[in-house]
Amino acid sequence: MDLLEVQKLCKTYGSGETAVNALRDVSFAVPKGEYVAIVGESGSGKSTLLNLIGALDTPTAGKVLIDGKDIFSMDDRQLTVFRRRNIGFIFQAFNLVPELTVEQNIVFPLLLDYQKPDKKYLEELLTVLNLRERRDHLPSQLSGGQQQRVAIGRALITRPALILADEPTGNLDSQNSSDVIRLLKEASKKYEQTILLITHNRSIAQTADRLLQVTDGSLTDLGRCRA
Amino acid sequence: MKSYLSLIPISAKVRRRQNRITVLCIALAVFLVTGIFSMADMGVRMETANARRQHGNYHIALRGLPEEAAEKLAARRDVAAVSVSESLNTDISLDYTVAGKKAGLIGSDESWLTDTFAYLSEGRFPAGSGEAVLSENAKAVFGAELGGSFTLHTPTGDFSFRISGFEDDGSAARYDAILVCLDRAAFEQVRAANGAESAPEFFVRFRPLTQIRRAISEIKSQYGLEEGQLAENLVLIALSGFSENSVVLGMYGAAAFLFVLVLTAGVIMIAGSLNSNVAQRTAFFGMLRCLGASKSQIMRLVRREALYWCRSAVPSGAALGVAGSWGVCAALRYGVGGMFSGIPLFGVSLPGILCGVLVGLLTVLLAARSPARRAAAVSPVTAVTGNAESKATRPARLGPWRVETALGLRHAAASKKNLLLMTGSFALSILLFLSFSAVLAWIHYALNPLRPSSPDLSVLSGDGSNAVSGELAAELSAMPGVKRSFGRAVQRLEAEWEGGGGSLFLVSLDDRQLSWAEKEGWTVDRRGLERVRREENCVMSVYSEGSPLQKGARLQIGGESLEVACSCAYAPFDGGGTPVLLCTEALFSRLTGESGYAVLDLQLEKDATEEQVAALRAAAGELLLSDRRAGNRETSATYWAFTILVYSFLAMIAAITVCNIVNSISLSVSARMRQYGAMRSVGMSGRQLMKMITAETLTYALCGLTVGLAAGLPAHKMIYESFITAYFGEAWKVPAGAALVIAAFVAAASAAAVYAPAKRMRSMVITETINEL
Ligand SMILES: Nc1ncnc2c1ncn2[C@@H]1O[C@H](COP(=O)(O)OP(=O)(O)O)[C@@H](O)[C@H]1O
Ligand SMILES: [Mg+2]
Repeated sequence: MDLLEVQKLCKTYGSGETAVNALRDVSFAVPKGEYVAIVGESGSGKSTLLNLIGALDTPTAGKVLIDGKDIFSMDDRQLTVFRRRNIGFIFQAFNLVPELTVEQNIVFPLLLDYQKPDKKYLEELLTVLNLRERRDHLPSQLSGGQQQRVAIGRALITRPALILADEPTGNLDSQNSSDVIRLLKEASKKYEQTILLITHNRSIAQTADRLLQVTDGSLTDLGRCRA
Repeated sequence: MKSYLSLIPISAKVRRRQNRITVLCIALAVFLVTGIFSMADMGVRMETANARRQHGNYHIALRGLPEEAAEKLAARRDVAAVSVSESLNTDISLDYTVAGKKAGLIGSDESWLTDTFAYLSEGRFPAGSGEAVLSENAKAVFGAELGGSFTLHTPTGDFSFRISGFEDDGSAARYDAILVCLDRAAFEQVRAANGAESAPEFFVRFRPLTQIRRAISEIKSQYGLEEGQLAENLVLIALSGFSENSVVLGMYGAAAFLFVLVLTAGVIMIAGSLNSNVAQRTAFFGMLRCLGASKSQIMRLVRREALYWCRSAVPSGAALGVAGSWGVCAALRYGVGGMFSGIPLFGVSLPGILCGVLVGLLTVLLAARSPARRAAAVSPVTAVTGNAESKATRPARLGPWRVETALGLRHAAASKKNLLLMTGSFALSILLFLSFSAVLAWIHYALNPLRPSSPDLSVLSGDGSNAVSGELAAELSAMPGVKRSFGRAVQRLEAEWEGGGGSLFLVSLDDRQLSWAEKEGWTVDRRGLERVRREENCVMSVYSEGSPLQKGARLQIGGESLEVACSCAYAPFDGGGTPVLLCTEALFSRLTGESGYAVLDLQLEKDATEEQVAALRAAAGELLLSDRRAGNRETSATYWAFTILVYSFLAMIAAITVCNIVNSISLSVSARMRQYGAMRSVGMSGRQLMKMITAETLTYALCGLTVGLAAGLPAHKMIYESFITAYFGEAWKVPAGAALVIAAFVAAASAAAVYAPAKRMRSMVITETINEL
């Protein structure tokens, strides 16, 4: 069964003359464990698509099914819990909590769920992310790449089925970028996680299992690329 | 865009919501100052008019000068008017009478009666020696009317006059005497016939803007005046603004204090807004610097931006203030009356408006100083690196709290300066609230004319004897227009008590007055009072410091042994230093054998007519009938004025506090909006977000409450003990009621502070907050 199913998704911002059709009738499905890259020009609607899949915003029309569940049929509270447990977000602007340390930032979603973090898994993540020596530092004391790795840790700690990453390497240099992508890919292999990743970087896109292109709100499946 | 400053209206439009509360704060400050200063101005105008009526429209009065002095004084350049008057038997000690009532005599020139003291209420000044003006109460006493005539009996003979007019200075009714005003020639005849000494007094009014102090010392040295020859009309001098010690100076002082209070609160609030405004836009300022803006340009930008808020805030605040003062004036004039019946209704006070505008501009400019400097200090690098807002330097400790609570606490404690300001503003409000509530208690004790026991009329023996007989009391209380009557007998007795003895006043109270003792708060000792009412040998002593007759003391009067079962703070009798004991009528007559009263108090029906009062007066016969209705109205007006003043202070303090905390929380939320969005996206629920904001708010509130009570309770105790315990003997208690009100108020303010951001959070669109720079 497919983990993610998007059906006829439309999003229109504004109304009347200034209306922007950011997404037009987008449909596609992603099976469990697949690593999908989304490319497209700036302003074509990639972020809109990702935000809708993560239920950060509501669509004008259409459905998103995750694990067979229609996410827009849930009320706000159910959605919050669902998001907390099933979706991991990584943003271009890392969006860490400035008052919390690296370790606290990573376990933040678990704390919100009033759960005890799994110590072994946390250590493993810190090792993989190369943040062991930095665990008690604050975000303001880290470099951009390190901050983004913390954000990845935060997205992985709940072992979500779906990871959504919006230009996670947009603020990073090429060395850092490839590190981040490598990490994401390893994790997804290891825990059978599905990844949707927006990128402008051709070489990063080439490493994905599958490539989707958004052009002016419409989606084209460029198919599997085995470079 | 003409210049970079054209950015201001554009960005103001975009940031309207964030600025709304700030604009509200400025408007509130302007409103409060305009309103209060307008009220003070109206108050001074009213006081001036009242003082002219009550104390006379003159600045100094001179006595012991030769007659020619009047002309010389009037010739001075700085003197506007001089009038002369003399008086005879105005202390009603000699046997001058009109229609059987004691009479006092005034001889003056016309301007004294019509201008210096505007007492003439009807008719005209006596034209020639055959005419006289009488006090208003003569109409009721013997049916005097304009054009009629009367005879003045003096110790050496009778004089007849025609009535040319009436005067109303209010004193005649109170002393139950008649005042006769003559011109100087007629007065001279009466005076000479009775061999009294001539002592004319000269009343001098200076022209406006005269340096009164200097003029007075000039006149003093010119006429070689001694101490006592020159009396200053302090009230009027003060109202002209030339006094060093007076009520009016106190009023100006209170106004100045308020000005500073409002200014401080305003600066604190608006500085908070501006600071957070600047902090949120560091990247923006960094970008401006990148694009080539100089430091001074950025400072100017921030300052102009702040001034831009004044554009709507200052005029609307000032307009509201003026309207508010009209409302209060109307309430005072028609609701309270008394001395306020002369307050101007639609007065516009220029000083009030100017002060309001000044406070608005000053607040904003003072508040903009440090944020402007901070904005200018932003390095251009911040524009490039971003992430300037997250400046946490210490990690949050989660401790036993859940993560959202811990973060809320952390947000409250993050900025020491902010925490201090918030705690301080709460604590200051609580301190002021407690201090004012102690003052309110004092007003209640000292000024309350609304006691159920306040009489409208009193029938007095005049010489302190118990000459009002029981039969007369019964007769008067049965007359139409009388609602209730109650009497007090007084006797000076010799008594012995442990360790001494001496004379004291024994005063009888009937059961109704004793029942008021508790209701009116003369005493809180219910059990002791009950014993005084029920037991045969128990009396109540009036508290005075160091008196041996405290509760529990025993004493002997004429062979009877008595116990002081209760002591009270107030009694309707002033012993003037001699101890006073209160007892039942039964005990009083047993001890003294007297059955009459020294004082019989009458309370009238609401619709009692002047004819009914005149009938009562006639029935009282030889006895004095003191009319206290006018005086009660005055006291009542004073009481209400003080009460309204204190409550408006309290309301102001409350408004400023609520505004401050709502503003601070709103700012704190605005500043962290993007963070909240990010937290929402990684799974924080709306409820958790609320808890976080609530935790932050409660931290401020609880800190403020603790500090406020810690500082406020001792202040309350101090004020209470020096104003109430010292005079009324009531011991200080923890003001539980006030503390409860404060706690409720703090809770309500916190709830209000959380409510608005919570509403905003619920409708927050996560996507809008996470990726903006
Ligand atoms: N909140 C919004 N209101 C109006 N238009 C928007 C909003 N967010 C995005 N858009 C428009 O929708 C289109 C798609 O935007 P987006 O999904 O952010 O593009 P990108 O592919 O660069 O991520 C753009 O034309 C953008 O201008
Ligand atoms: Mg985008």
